[in-house]
Amino acid sequence: MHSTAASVVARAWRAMTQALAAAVLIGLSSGGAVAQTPELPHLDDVKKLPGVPVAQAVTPGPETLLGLTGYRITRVVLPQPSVVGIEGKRTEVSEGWHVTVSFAKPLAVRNQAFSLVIDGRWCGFLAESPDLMSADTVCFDPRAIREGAALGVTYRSIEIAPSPESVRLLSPDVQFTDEDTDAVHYSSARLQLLEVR
Amino acid sequence: MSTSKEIMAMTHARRFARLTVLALLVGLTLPALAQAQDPAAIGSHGVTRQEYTQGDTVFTPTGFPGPVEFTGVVHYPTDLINGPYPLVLYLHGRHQTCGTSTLEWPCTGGRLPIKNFIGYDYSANQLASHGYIVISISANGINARDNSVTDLGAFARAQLIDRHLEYWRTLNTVGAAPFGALFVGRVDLTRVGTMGHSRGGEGIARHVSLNAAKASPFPLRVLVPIAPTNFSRFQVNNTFKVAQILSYCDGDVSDLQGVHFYDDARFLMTTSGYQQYINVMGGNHNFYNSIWTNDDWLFQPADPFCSVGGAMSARLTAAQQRAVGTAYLATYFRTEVGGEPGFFGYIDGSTGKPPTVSALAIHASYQGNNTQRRDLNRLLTNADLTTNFLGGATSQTGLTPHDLCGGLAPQPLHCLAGSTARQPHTTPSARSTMRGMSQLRTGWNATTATFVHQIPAGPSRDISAFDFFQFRAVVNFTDGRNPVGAPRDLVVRFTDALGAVQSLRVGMFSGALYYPPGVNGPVPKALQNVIRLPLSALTTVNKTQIREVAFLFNQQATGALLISEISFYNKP
Repeated sequence: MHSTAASVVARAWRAMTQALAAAVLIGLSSGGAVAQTPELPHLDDVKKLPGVPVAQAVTPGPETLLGLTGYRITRVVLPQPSVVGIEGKRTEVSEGWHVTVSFAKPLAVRNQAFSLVIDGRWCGFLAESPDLMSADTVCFDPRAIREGAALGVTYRSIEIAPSPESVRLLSPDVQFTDEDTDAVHYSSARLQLLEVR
Repeated sequence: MSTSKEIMAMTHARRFARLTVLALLVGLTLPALAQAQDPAAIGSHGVTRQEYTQGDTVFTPTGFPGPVEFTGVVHYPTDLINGPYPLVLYLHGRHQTCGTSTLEWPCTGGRLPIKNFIGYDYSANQLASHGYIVISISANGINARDNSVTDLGAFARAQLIDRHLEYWRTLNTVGAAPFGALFVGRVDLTRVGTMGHSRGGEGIARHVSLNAAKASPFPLRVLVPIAPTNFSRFQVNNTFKVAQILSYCDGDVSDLQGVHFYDDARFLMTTSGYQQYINVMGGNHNFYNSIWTNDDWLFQPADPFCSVGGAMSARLTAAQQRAVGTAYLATYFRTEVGGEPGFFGYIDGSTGKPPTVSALAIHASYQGNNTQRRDLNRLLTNADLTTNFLGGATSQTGLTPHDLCGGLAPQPLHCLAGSTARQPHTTPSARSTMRGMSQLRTGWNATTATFVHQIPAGPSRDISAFDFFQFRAVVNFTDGRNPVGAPRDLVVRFTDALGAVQSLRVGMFSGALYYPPGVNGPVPKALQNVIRLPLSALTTVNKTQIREVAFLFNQQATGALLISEISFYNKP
């Protein structure tokens, strides 16, 4: 029974990988080649993978203009190494961190990209849940998931290949105007890792 | 030394002179306006409207995580018998999909799909009345999941567009449900245009390369992105005509990143095509779609200019904004898809604005292809600050700073300190590492400051075949030498080979050097506007022998501007 289920999952994963590689290529084609490693399939499929809790936080109350109330991070292991874009470069990864951010009120559906930012660095586009009360993404940059890191969300356009200057401008130390939704909205709850990596 | 009374008298005299000139101009202009053609007028064709669908989960675009709908609405001339008529496709942007406020697809729990695609009926009906088949297609299925794909749905939208266009090819050849043979032979697929709003705008840009790769591509006569996203910096340049509507008070795509389409392509249209945008002061993001009734500026902090009810609010009503949409969509498509004469001057701005929106503050910027221009200075590298594009010497006196910013390294990434949303030309791109547009950052502390371009002897000195001298510029609101709220002005002086000179004051011909309004969030905004001086105004110099063009900053004691591409322009 288990082996059958595993086989189905493996077949489905292969099919997804093959069928969906083209979409990811669009976003990553500017980077250098990572030979023979398949492109990552849809983030939706990665998000469905079972994960190990890494961090979880509930804020004392709704924070920032967006009403941020907390977040949950689970580590997911990919069935096989895949290529993703990290800071504009094609990079082979075998794991990622599924980050879900929750809000006290429904998010607006905007056309501007909605990004997860950790310590001033872009770490994925957030996809809203159907009820708009949460948004999630998968971050593949292992440097982001560290004890004490500051996690925020933003509608601001930010450099995917950051310079020291842009990281500084987006860092949690910057005093963003809270009324400005294009600021980076940081949670007051810094990352406290549940799992020693 | 003048007394205060003398100064007051001089001021009054100047005002009187200005008013006199203004009155004369108005007097001269009114008859022209009365005769101006109105692209927004309703045409002579009766119009039939029909929605159509093949279902909510008809196909899954390649690379997309779920199935999407095949649904749209068509407005067409009721007298199809007199066709074939050109085809125009509209694609809406990202919005809720079901019920009142959910983002799912297909809809569940008894919720009904939100008909985002009917939000442009006002324009489609008007355009159809002039003999166009206008389809507006639904993209809710993409909206529900596009944040989960790396290009944020651009490729999926391009595929959706292609699928609809192919459907209309079928309707034109053998017919298909639900229309049967109604449109067989009635669709002119040699004349096609596309409009995309917001993420739909990037979708029509992505569609260009998808379409070009087809065995039988559709001839796209013009692309009209409205308040588009430009995450991936898709390059749409030579041979293509791209005309954008950008809103100064856009509260969603608040950095006006769509301007990168223009900036990236401005020197790459070598043989044909053009780039254009209008800057709609007081317009927001949403109101071009009548279904999107929420004011997106509410995403931003209250602002005296951009908030409804602000102390100096210049916000347009939804009806006014749709009037802009009607007038300019008609202008773009009737000119470029229909080949109708008479409206091009609204595209390049040379004849002002369409009559129905002439009272609104709208600035048109237009960059023709290389055959329409003679570039004087592209302002791309430091070398351009000493030698211009024609090979002549370029120099300045009394200008500080006087450097290039925003372009390729080693230029600084941005021209101004502070929010990148206030600097559209250098705002970062969510899916691209491309940098922004090179701009000249300059300013003066005395009326003796100059920026001079010599033109070497030879054919370059003959500008008699050109209609205009033009450049793009904006007042640098971060520089304290510009008094808050006050416009800047300057003079462009032309000198011929015999030393005759004639000066044209920019303020006589353009209102583009306004002080960018607003104080909060993404405003004020350094969005450059084209300034165009008619060379027909040069009457005392020999236009076949112009040896020098000089910017004289002698109208105000201080000021600071950002300037880009300086050229002579010839209307097509």
